[in-house]
Amino acid sequence: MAAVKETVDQVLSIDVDKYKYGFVSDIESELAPKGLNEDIVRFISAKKDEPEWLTEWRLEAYRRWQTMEEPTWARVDYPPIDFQDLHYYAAPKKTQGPKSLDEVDPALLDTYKKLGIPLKEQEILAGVEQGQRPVAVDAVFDSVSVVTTFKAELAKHGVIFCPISEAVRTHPELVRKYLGSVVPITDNFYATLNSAVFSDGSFVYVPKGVRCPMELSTYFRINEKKTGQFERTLIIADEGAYVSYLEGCTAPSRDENQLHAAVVELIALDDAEIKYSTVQNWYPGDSEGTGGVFNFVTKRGDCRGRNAKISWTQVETGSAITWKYPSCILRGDNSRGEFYSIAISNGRQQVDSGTKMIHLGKNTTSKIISKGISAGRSSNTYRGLVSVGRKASGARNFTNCDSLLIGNKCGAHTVPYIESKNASAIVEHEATTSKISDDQMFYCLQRGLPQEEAIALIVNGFVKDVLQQLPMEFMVETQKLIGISLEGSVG
Amino acid sequence: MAATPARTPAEQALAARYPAERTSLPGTADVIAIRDAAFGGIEKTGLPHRRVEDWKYTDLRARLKTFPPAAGPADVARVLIARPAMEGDKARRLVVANGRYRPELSDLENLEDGLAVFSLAKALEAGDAAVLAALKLDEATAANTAVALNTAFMTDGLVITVADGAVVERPVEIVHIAEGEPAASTAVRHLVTVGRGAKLTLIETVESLDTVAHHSNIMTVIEAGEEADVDHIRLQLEPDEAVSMTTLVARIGRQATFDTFNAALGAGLARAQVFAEFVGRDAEAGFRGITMLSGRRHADTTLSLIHGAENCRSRELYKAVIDDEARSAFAGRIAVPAFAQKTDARMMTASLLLSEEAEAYAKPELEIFADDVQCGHGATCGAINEDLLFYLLSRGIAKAEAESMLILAFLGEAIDEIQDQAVHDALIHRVEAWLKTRASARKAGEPAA
Repeated sequence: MAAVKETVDQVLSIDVDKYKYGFVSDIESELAPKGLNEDIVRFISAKKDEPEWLTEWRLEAYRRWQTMEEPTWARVDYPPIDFQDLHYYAAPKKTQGPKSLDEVDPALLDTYKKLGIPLKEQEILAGVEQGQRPVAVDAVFDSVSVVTTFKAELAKHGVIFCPISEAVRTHPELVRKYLGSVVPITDNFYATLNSAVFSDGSFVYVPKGVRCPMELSTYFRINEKKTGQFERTLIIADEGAYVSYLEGCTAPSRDENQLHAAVVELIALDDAEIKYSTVQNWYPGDSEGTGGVFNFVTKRGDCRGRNAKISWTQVETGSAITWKYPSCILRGDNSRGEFYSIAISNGRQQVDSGTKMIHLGKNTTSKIISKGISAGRSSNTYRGLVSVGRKASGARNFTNCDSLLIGNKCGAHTVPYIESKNASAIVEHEATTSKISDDQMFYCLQRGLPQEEAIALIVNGFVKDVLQQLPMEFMVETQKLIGISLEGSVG
Repeated sequence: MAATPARTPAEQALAARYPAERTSLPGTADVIAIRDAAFGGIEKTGLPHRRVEDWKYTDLRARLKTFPPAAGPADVARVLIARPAMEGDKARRLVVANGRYRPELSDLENLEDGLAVFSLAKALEAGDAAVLAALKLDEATAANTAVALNTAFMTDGLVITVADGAVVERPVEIVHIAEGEPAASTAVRHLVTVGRGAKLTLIETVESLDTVAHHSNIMTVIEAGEEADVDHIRLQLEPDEAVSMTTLVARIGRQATFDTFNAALGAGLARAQVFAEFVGRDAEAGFRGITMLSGRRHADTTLSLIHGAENCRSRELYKAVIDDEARSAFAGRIAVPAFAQKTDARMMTASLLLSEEAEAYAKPELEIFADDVQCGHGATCGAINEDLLFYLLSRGIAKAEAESMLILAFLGEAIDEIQDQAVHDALIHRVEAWLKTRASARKAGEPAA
């Protein structure tokens, strides 16, 4: 039992009260009035100089949203959200179109510095340093992308990486063709709300046969008081293209709950591959559970072409409420979907996350590895669906979800759904829930490892399958961002 | 309720039946009050549909076309020719025909010491306090549609008690027979109490003699006392036209051993539910079952187990073989409260799809609040392994037979856990008959060599 005590201490040492990124930077911002109605939707659209079709698209979503009910099936419990008591648009103070980082508001840069994103460094490092690939960062401060680096470098390869608001103007044909084609405006309550009011987000298009020369990275940060942030990300990998996209998040400490309802759409055409990695460390609320971000995200990838591949990797450590199910629609024959997840919950956090693998094409394969670690008074639920359609001959799925409980005031739940309509498909699911086993501890101790190292070894082994999926650069940032590194802090 | 869609024919039939029958059903005013509460719940929500999580894969509103009238008295001559699952006198037969216990057709000779059998209807009429208390269920179970229908319409059943320390070696077999035309419905409830250190093997056979859409709703409540040893096996053998709902509620005491096995071999629409709870520490339980489906049949197995005491161990194993256009659904849920440390639970479900149109659904769920536990679940779904098949074919075994061998081996893992040899053999006999029918149909379909 002493072993458990150690682990408890380690997790407590990252106590939510000591949330490292709970600061507020003071930047003047432009707010839309509170509440939501057709005028607000038009206001947001007008603010962004959007074309008529997009305004109509938003309005259609808004009208649809009004007829929908908030979903209640997830194992999360939170006070009702007053959707009329939120600002749906906040833009940082306009600067005169910064041409370089020097022109950017220093307070903003300072914020990033505290977050540990070496924007400047990274620009200098671009393609210079041996062995380390450059990372392009599209920094989103509240709702508007302020600075986009590496554009020139990417343009050389024909890769489009810009805020989606810009893409609407510069590449309307692409946006119009793909926006809402994976997550339609009728999809679900939060996705529909997002469609109506989405603020900004990233747009990536990788042309045929191009292997994106660097990892693309976006930092989201909710900043303005009482603003919901509604990102919309759209990533398209054309035939034979490859792109790896990184998303990381931290948010400042707040008393009031902040709503976050993002939508991410991935489209992989023939032979294309998209790798999407997330580290989410928004404010989880204090130890009593007040404050904290409500994170209701719809993420979905569509393997539209043959041999396409989409891989989701997520490290979920923040937010008071997480409601997130990155999914793959395996439409093209031989396409592949992957989902790797580490979800750590502490304090009074509630996580309800998982994935959906929809096998539609022949010989489609999918793999799900989910690791949940539950501590404090938190609740950690894996909820997933593996569905094999009638025509998905030869489909193959393997699912493994393991949960580790630390303390007896938390909960770990597993709710998988398996639906097979094809005899030649093979679907396998396994799940375990346990504490660190006495046998494992005994074995390690008996080999002369100190207790602390033994725990590190075991916990490390527990999440390793997923940690290995993170890109190298992100691994480093992950450690900075989440303040807990299962690799480092325990060992 | 403005939001409720128009009532389906089955719901209309239910709404018409209950008020007409409620006072003629057995029981005192207290019983009527319990029935009213149960039926009120159904009236309010209607039959469950796929949006109701517990019935996600078995949409009763869509699947239940009608709700036939209550069954009349059964024809004794026909009941007598019905074959029990257990040959000869290997088991003590108790007959429930068309929803009524028939002592005159049952084997009540030389009852073992400590074994008592009497009619539920009589106990309800007499207002027996212990029986009334045993009708009380926890809220979630009571609200379950199959349970609520049973509570509202139950006509009879058996009250079986095994006194403390009594060891009943000879299995007790309850034979449920539905007989007669047109289609009718029955609701039967059994209350079984096995005392401290007592032992009982209980077999339930569910049959229908006619190929009409009989509805049967059988609910068995078993109270396994401290150190008791209870083995429960249900063989569900109705024809394809039938609708069959069975519910087992089990409360497992300290250091008790409890096993239940459900063989879903019949009925066009079958739902087998288990609601079990460990109420004392150091107990052990096994929950197993097989489902064999062909044609357009639909079978649903739903298990909810509350590991409500420390240091209990459970094993769950459910296997399904699905042919033609049949559909099988399994939903298993194991809940471990925070105080139930040292829980050890392992749930496994496997489905074998034998045709292009067969469908399998599984939802193995874990809900855990205790940290010092070992819980796992597994689920698989696939076709017969080609390598294994090839091996047998290369040994000169015909394809249909080779498949039968592999299917039997697949199911055997669960069947072989049945402790009572006679019961085991009786089940294997049924499974082999099913496989033989399938194999000969396959052969007939194949072009002549």
